[in-house]
Amino acid sequence: MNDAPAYECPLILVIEDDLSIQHFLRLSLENEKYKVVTTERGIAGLSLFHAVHPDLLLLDLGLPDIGGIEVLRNVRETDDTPIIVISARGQEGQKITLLDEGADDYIVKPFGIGELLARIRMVLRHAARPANGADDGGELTIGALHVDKARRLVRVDDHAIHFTPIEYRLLLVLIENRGKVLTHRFIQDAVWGHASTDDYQTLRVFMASVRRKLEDDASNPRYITTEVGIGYRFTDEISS
Amino acid sequence: MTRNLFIRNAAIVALTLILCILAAWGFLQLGLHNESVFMAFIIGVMIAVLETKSFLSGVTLSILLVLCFNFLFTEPRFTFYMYDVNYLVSLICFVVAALIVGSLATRLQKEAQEAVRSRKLTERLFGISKGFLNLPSEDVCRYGQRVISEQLGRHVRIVIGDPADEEGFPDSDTDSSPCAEEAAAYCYRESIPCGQAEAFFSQAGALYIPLKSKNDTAGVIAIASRNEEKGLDDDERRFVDTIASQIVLVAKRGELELETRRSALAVEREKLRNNLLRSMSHDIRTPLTGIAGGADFLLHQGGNADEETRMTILQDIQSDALWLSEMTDNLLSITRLQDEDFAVSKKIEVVDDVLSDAITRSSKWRGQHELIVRHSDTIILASMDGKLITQALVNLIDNAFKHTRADSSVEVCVEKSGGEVIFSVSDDGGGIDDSLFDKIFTSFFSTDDRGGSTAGQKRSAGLGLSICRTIVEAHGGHITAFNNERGGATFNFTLPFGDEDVEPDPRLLIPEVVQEGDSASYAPSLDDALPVTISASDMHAANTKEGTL
Repeated sequence: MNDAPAYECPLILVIEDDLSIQHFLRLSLENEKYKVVTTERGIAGLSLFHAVHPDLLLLDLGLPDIGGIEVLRNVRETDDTPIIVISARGQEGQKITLLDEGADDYIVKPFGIGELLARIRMVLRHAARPANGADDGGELTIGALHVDKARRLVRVDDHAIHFTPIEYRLLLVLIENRGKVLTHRFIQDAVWGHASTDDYQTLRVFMASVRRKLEDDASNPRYITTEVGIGYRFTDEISS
Repeated sequence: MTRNLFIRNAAIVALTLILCILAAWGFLQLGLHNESVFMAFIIGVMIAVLETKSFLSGVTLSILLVLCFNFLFTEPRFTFYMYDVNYLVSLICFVVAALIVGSLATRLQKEAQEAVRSRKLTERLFGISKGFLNLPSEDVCRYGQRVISEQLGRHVRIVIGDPADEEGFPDSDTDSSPCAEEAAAYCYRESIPCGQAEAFFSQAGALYIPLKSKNDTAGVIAIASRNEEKGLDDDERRFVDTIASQIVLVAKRGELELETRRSALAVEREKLRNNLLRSMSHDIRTPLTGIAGGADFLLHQGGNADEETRMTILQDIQSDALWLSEMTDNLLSITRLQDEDFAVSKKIEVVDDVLSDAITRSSKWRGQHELIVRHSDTIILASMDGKLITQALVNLIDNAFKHTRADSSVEVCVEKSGGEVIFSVSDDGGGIDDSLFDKIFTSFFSTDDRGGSTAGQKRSAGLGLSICRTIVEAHGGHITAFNNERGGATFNFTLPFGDEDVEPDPRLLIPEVVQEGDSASYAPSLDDALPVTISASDMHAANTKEGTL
């Protein structure tokens, strides 16, 4: 956060071929004091990306010239710039591939601008944090959740909660990547280190267990949201 | 005829021969006539035939008897000559009589044996056929294999459908020869028996008999050889053919059932789609008109209107758009249902995940409503199409929000009971008029139909509940609605645990919450017993568990 000028007024590149959505995105984002660059084509988008080095990329999946996955791969070759994928329903498969390949989040059309802005804030914050939680210095507080890494202690609302080794590792992976959508594959890789043989069943059961331990009110999930068939998101916008 | 049998028959013939000669000698000593001797001989021949079950031994015995009698008792004695013509005629008559009696006895015996055998076979076939009667088509191979191999005492494998699609057919126990698969494939393709003792693939290690149905081959039976015996005898072949036809019948019956179910589902789906199309134009046009009209007004006369009017119009546009977007979600669910060729694509899902997703998605209409979620104590795994069940839950929860007063509380529960997972969404917002219960799940019923929709009630296409029903029923469950004691309505739906459902590994179940003073903590679960790699740091963590409790 030290290089403040860049983050005071983040630059967002929007690659979206539908002009009315592009227009609406530009208006809404500029209203929130973001700088916005837009384009309708993937190839033009890539040149723009390398020219302006935006802080965030909003990438539509249904581009007329090249697929979203090519754009993503090209960007990821050189940059870790956060990417939010804009998808329509029915593009599930593509969406998961992009998330697996390193997109940070996605949003499904039609979406409310409030939701999009929240996602943008979340991934920008995630990008601003150094990788692997090195900044946490062993202790970490998110809302009512407190994790003491040195002592492997987890407290929620000042209650100590026991986590089994795997649950704890799951929690750490989620926290270190908070603000980002994590696919089943990503989590499986990070926690188990090998491919799943049971369609992520074990992973999902452990996740359910972690979530039950963290969330005191299942009707108001504070930390973890689920995307059936995709994965999980650990939020860092805690409303207290 | 085996060696042992031959020796036994020879011994019987020899014994009867000696007894007959002794009897003849005794009779002649007592001064009885030759006729009595020949009678005794005939009895001897009959006994020999019955005992040896062989006509040949009867013939042998009678010839030996004639020779011995001639040699021992007729003048001149101890030669094979005879002076008395009487003897000659008697002996010839004896031989003829002995042959006739012998052959009759043999035939009778054979027929009796045959009758017993065929009765047994018939009884057996009858029993087997009865077994086939109520056999589920997926068990037909196993059952057929068992009965044929019991009857023939050979190793038998049956495959329904193309043997090439069946992994490991024929297995090495049945046929270990290199051309096994080729023979099975040929048998299936050409619908003719091949393999051992047949014209094609006689070098194979087993016999392949096609399961012939009317127009095609339903499958193949592979019969291994027993010891050195290769082909089947007529009876065995008839037996196998009979069983084969039964197997074909059952397999076809299964196919037919599947076909019937499939077409019933197709009809149901078609009906739904037609209903949908019929009312879609109307349902979509209404909010579109609102949006277009509102936007048009703001564009052209927006400057003249006061702030409040503009806000109202904008809110209307937003709510119409939201409604359209929800409608699209539901329409896509329907497409999803219709895209599937037969059943919904089920996968094992963790119910917590589905519930959590549904709750996040249904927040749009939440407003001031209180939402209570009750999980089951254990983590439930059930096979379902997660997206569709999420949609069903979202519809039910949204309905509860939309159709009750603003401060009502909505409770979502999941529990496991018997062979089902039960989801329920209940509210305390007044309940449903009794007269409406049988209509609410039909397509395009909406409370607006009553004409007097209460102010503030959101428009509904009447699609939500109908889609819930379609989704639940496509999963083999059922959905019900009733008024609960909290003074509201409860919608319940169940998902059955089908065959393909996997009971969760008991080690994966969450242990009960243990209350320890104020802090809720969990009893240690058995992660370490799971097939996952535990690193050194985990071991460390396990050792320090005490400290974290």
